[in-house]
Amino acid sequence: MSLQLLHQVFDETRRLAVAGSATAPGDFRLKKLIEPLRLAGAKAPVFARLAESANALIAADEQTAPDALLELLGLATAIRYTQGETGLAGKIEPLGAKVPTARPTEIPARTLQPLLQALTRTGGGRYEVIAEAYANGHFKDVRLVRIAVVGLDDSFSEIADLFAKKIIPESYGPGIAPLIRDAYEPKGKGGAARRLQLLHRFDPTGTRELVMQALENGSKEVRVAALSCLGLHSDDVHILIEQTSAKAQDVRVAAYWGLTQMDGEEAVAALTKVMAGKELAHAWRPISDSKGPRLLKEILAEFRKELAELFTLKDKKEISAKIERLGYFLHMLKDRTDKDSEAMVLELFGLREKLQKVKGDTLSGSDLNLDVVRAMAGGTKTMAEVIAGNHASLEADALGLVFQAALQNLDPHRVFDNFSPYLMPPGQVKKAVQTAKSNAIIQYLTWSFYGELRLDLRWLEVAMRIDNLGLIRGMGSPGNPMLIAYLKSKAEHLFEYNPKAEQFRILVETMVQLKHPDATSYFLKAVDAIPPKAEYASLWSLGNAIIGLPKSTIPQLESFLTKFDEVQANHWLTRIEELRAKSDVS
Amino acid sequence: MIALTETQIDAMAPNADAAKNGRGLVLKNKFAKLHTSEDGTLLFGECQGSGKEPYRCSSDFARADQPTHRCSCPSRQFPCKHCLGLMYAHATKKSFTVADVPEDLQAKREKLQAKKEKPADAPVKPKTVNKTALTKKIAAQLEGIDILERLVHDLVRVGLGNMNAKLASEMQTQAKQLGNAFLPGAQAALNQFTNLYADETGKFAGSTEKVHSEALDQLARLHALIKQGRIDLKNRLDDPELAPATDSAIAAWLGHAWQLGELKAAGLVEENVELMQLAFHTFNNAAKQELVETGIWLNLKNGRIRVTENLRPWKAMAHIRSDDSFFEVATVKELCVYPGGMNPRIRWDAMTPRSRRPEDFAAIRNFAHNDFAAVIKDVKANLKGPLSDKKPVMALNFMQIGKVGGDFVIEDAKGERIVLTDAGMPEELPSVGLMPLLFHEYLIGQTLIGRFVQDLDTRQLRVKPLSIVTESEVIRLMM
Repeated sequence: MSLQLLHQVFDETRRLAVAGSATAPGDFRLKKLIEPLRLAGAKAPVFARLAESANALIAADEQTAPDALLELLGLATAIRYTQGETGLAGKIEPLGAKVPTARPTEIPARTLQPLLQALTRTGGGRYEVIAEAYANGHFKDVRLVRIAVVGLDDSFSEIADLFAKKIIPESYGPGIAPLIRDAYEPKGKGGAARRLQLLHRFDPTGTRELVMQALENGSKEVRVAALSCLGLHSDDVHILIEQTSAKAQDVRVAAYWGLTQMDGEEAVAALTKVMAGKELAHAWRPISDSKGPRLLKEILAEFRKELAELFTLKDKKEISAKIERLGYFLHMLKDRTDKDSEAMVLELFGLREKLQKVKGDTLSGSDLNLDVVRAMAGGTKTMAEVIAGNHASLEADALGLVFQAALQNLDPHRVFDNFSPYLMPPGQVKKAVQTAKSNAIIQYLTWSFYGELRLDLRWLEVAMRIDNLGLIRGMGSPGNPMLIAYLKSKAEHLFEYNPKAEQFRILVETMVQLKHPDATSYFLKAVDAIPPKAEYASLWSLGNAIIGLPKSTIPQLESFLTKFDEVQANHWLTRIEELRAKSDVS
Repeated sequence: MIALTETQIDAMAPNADAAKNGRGLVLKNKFAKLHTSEDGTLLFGECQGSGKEPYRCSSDFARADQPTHRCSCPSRQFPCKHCLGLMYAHATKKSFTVADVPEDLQAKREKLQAKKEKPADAPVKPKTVNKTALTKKIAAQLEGIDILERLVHDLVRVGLGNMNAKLASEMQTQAKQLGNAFLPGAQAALNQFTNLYADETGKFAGSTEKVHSEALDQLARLHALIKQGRIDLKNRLDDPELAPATDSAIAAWLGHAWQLGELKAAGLVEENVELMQLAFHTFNNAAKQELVETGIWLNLKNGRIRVTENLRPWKAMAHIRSDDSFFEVATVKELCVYPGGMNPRIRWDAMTPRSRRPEDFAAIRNFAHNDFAAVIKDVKANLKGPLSDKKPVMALNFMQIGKVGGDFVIEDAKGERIVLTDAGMPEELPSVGLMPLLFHEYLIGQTLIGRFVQDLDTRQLRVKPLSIVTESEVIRLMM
């Protein structure tokens, strides 16, 4: 079969179909092929049919040409299908991984489809779908590999970052690199940057050239990512220094991050220069991350120099600007525990009275003082002791921070002795000041319940004295006779006063939580008293407390369901079910 | 006693939400009564709903391969969440008490039993054909064919190069007339053609060199549809009692919706069949405005590859049960096979699942083709038919899957190679790039389930991997 002739016929037919059948009658290029087709037709009848069909088209008029053209097209297409080529010459390289990147699973398509939709559509709720699938290990399925790679380009950066930082590295590993590389485009945006970082993470040496190309030709995002990949090679410091003068701020900041990971002379000199200039506002974060002693020395020297300059300034604008800069230096020392940094912060605390007098335009010395207390509260034990010893001289804002530091670092009895007076009724102190300070103490005391801090038991007595149910709930424990009596008397009083009141509901929940002997009866009384529609949220909240009740209450709880609407009833049913399923041994 | 697993109930659910809600009813303890009949074939109970009265639901397993679900709720989903909940309660070993079957339920069961017991050879009342109506319908269809011909001829007259957004949009508007002329299949074929000129958002973008090859192929198909359709319809106009053609797929192309009864009457039935699903995927068919859920199955007794298609029009999506992957073997007493094609569509009324066994995998590997040259010949013979399936699926036993230059290839024992591709199948997720990620043992001496596709520009006949079958598992690459 003369394949060339066949392809010629097809090409001419295609040309005529694109140009329109009006040009087909008498077309000389097609006409030229008829004779060779007839000759070939002697050996293969299919060519004779093609010749006949082509002839009919040439002889057609404007009216019949479309049908004739379609007839020829159909015939040529059918023959062309029989000429499909297969095979590929060359050495075949084996494929496959010894440690597979992903595995086959039997997760049904119905489970995986929402995931596909989450990544191919826009709108809310997608993150949850993806995060849940990740938590359930679904991404280990080989069918999701492609989707995960596509996720790197998601328009919602939280989703894209989830893929880049967790799903891909944890689910697949280096085997996925070729797929990530396929769609990598140095001029791309965030997706390309994530791709480059992942490729570097999987193979730091192998991606060196790619990183260099990205620095040369990449978009801003890709260059930032490329800079984060530097640091392993001796030349990297020069590249990073060069990029500290880049036009794009993000690129400059990425260069600072890179330099802070080195503590060589050149890197430190470059960062010192940056610290002394306007770029400090952008460089302080990366510099804070540096743990190198050389750079620390420079930070402290520059800090002292600028602090001394502050006291010589007169112009309020300049004072504010300087305080802002000093704030950055303070931030750079914040998480450091070395003696030099500690000494510098304590020195600054010692200057608080002098600083308090420095008045600026937008920022003043008092702002710096608060920052110092904040730094000390989160600092070393020595710092905590120093500020705790000076609590009386501090404002409410600072007092809260100091109290928090004291709770974390000092003896519980000492903390109680120092700070409990703030919860007592005001004496000669102004009421507003006392209230602000007392609120600050209560706030940090409440937060302390979430940690594992030891508290002096006398705090509970104070809480009962000031009738603070939140504190009682956090600090109380079942079986405390004084607490039992207090809650009982409080419950009797509030029930009589107004059983629908929120305060009574909170008290009942507290009693349930603290396993008060009368908790169940007051719980049932509260539910009975609360109107289901008007106090919907209260009933919902009480529903959450069901798990703390004894199982014997279940029939009584179920009897309430009829007065609730569908949603409230569902909520209660779920909670009752949890209670039913709860182990009897607690 | 009914042996129900949660996976089986999941598969019965019309969609994932219904399954979730059904489970929720059990968790929320919404079932006031849970009963079973004395023989254990019926589950029934009462479930508290939003109304005053509880819903009375039941799942009847008198026909184990075709359970009957009944519920007094107004849901259009089937089975509804209450029946699903009832089954989940049973599967999760909730306490069911034996009770007398309520009278109304018993009556319904007896009626169903009577229907079931009707002898197979009982005289079937012949279906009466309203000849006048049918003649009218066929005449309208012939008119529709004329419209299609006129549209195609007009297009060929102006030429594909002059196709523009306005013309494509006008053609699509006129394609609606084909739907009115009882030719939904022809309408979809025309829409598929005009959609070549639309971008991803459905906006018509005009003619481009890139789509000419595909457009020519579809024009040839439309021309064949006009010719064969006209002959078929004229034959039926001459003899209104003539059944739709079963020797080709022309009836489906014209848009005939085959009923199972028709297929059975035409003898298109295979009996006592065991099927294993080898691949499953879902895609949106914009031309037909429907979601298509396709399962690819292999008949374990004869090795033929068949497809199931669950068609869910966008407008009625919520009310039609969604299909899902199936990881067991489906035992089907009567399998109805649609006419035409290498991989004809199949459907069944009733099916019993059973666990997969090693011999099932061995059967697949035995039926798969060892000789690629012979397969290619068969595929080409199929492709040349203008109305044939242009992307047939075959099972291929390979020596190895490897890489030659930048291409991935599959090679048989004789060294014959076929290049693997994702091109030309935008409706399916790409799978070729997954090969290097798989365990290397999956790529040596296994069976590939692949979809053939011919690149119309390069004339390369290639294969898209759908799954790989080993001695003990099916590695699915699609969803």
